[in-house]
Amino acid sequence: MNNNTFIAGMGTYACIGQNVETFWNSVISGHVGTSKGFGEITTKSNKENKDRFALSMALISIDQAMKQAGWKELAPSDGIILATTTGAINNWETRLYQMHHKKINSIEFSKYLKYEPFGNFINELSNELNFYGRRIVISSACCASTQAIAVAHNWLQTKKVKRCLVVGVECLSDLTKNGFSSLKLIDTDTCRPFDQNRKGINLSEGSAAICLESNKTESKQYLAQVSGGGYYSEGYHMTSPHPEGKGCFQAIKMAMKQSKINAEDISWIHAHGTASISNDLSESKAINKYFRDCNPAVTSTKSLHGHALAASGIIESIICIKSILENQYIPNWHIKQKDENINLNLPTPPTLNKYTNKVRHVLKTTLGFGGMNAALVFSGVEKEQRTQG
Amino acid sequence: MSVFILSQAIIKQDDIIDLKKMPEFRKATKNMILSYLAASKVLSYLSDRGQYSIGIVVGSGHGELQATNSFCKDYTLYAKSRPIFFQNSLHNSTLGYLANKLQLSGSATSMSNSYFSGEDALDFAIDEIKLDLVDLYLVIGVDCLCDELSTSQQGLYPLNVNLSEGASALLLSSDSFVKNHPTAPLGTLKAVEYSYHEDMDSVKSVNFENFYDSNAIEQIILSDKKSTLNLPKPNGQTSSIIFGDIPYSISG
Repeated sequence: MNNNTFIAGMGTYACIGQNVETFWNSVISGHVGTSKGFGEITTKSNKENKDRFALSMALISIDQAMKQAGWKELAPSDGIILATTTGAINNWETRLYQMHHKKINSIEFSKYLKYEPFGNFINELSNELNFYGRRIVISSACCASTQAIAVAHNWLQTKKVKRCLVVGVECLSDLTKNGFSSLKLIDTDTCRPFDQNRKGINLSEGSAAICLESNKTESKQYLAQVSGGGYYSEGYHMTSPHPEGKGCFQAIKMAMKQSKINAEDISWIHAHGTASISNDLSESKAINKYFRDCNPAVTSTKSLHGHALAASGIIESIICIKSILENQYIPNWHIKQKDENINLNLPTPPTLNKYTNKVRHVLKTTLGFGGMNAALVFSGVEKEQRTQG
Repeated sequence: MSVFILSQAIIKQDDIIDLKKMPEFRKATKNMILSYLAASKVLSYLSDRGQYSIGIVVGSGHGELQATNSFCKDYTLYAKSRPIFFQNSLHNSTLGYLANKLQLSGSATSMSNSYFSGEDALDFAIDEIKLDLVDLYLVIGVDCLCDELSTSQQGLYPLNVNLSEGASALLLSSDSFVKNHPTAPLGTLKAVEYSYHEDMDSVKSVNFENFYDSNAIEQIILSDKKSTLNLPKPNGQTSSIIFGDIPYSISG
């Protein structure tokens, strides 16, 4: 493996911005996109396309990413990795309720249930892109899109594909809203990751896409590179992370090993930081264990854009990439009182400029239900590499 | 690097009828029980599995649709939201259940891609072994019908598909493991190939008996593991499982 996977383009469609620049401006200004615990996208086009919302979001972020990458179309030698937990649930969930209320019968429901398999989603997406190459769907809960980027990195390094499009998409649904509520994990105020008095998560929806190339593919401009990735199932609990962060630590270790970067070279960690009691404690222990005295700055931005489940990793990767490009990392906007049990370097506002620094390598961590953990290392691209060809 | 099939198992719905009543499986879904039995069976090949790193991948076309339906039904009819149905509704809850119950930690993922769900899981495992990330990889293909939605599910498939349920499992290894193990492998996997073009005419006369989305793993188990295994799909797409020879030094 030559260790170079270049990010040629990126796009996003989230509750705090429907393109990368708007999204980034919201992040650096601390704009909150959630309300009463949920970060719903409420644009006009969303309302018009509610039945096709997941596919529409994915295509919008893909279009942004491909335009930036200068990819006019996908070739059969390319690959697509889709990450989602609920796929196109908006297309069939309401009809399921109607069927249970005997407003439609099971034969009629078939017309909507066809949208349930993720395979249908990736086929529709591929058809829209006129793409007949390798495509997979990763459904490893909240880790899915972080893992998808790590797998894409491996695909490129082993020459399985020449270029890879990674897309994460998640829609808010009754299933997820009520499901997380049933677990008593929703904070109806703005969530406060790593805060002493945090009460839970804010759920959200959104999509993001990134275009990845190996260094031998000609391209016009690269934004950053994926230096390493790791994923690890800890086999501990269905919904709670290991209290000592076992899986998260292992994922970090794998990503760092693949990146060949030393702990002290990590400029900033963009944490999963959901603001659930157990996630933040577990994740902080994993970070402490790996980084020991290096004490890198750690931030969660979920108080701004909420937790978009499977799409969260790739949406937050956009922030990591922008932070490298802008040489600026983000404070924890909504910490009021740091959790005394969390021993992390957690930068806080008010002075954003205080956090402007040379950002060279950024670690992204993600934890998920089912005991899954994933991590990525993003690195800057030297000037001579940034523009090639 | 070669990838070998060390052990295999097929579990069918009839195998779990009595188990579903046992307290041990009270909170488990059909997918989980089927997968657990299949996984346990293939892992019994190893007398000393504690000393190996074992990855796990679950491929499923419909995932935990039954738990999803149970959650949604309770919510819409009775205004109840039951946490157990929600946590089981997640696509990767089958994987999480297996990892917990079998005490497996390490490389893992959950994949879903309709008719290619089994192939994708297999291909992922082959890649992980070739990357030398693990000693062994457990590959599961599992799909069940949702009791209340089976009529709707049947409506998703052409008439020449006889839908079934089941889980099948393979235990894969690298050649370094096989060289140090006394038993000959069951087969050698070289690659998985895909054709995503939908040629419906090519499958008009095919009867897809005992079919479920991820049953490529079962088809591999039932094959001779020597010649290329071509797997036509109900929508006219196809996959091919390419086998290699078992080196004489291992098989002999």
